[in-house]
Amino acid sequence: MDEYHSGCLLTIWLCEGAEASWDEAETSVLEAHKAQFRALLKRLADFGRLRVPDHMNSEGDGIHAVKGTSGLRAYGWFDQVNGRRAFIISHVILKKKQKLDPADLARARSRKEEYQRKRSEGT
Amino acid sequence: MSKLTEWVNASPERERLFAQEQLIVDAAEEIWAAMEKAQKSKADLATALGKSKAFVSQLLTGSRNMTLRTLADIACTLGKRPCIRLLDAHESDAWQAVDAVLLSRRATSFAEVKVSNDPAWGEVIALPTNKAA
Repeated sequence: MDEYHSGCLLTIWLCEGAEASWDEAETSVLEAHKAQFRALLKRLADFGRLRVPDHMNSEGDGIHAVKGTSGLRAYGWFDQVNGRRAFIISHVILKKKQKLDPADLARARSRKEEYQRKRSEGT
Repeated sequence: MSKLTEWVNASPERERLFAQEQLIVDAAEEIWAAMEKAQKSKADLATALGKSKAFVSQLLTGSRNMTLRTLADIACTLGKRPCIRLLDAHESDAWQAVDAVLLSRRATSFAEVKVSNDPAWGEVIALPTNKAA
């Protein structure tokens, strides 16, 4: 995992492949929308949560989505890494439909399970 | 330097856009926190402002620009008042760090808490222990 940003209350981490998915998702996104998405992540890192449902919501199974106005979504979960609170981003997409694509939730869930398995094995 | 900071610092234009979006996100989050505390919904706020629920939604997502007058009206409706300060850019995390300390003190009885990754704030700040505990 790569560290993305460490704020006052938690650190945001990127799973393997998350950065590539992010680059791909952002190819047609305006700079202002990219900045808005990052402002949400900074707020999350500094305050430990995003309260506005339009900024973040729970997708079930401990998976949360950070929601940019442009349709950018970062799927991930909360955990502890090196004794510090963490939000681990599984992948980023540019959402085209209003409804959550089950494949995105399955992808995040699978990444989370893989992460938890590796952590329990100490690798 | 974090990947986020690297991205923001890549150009003055990005710094400007990020500063705008950060203020909009912070304002929306603070308003929502006050709404939760006052147990008011978007519909309640809209009614109090004499506006539509969509108007409030657009303010909170940043898709509609919020004027200072509207911010003052929202704060007044929620029994709050806005507090405006212009800090030096390098101070931007300082108030948040203090906020984090206060949150941590409230949530736990930690005697020490690390407040920021900024080298200037990277040292552990010792807090007085609670003698009554």
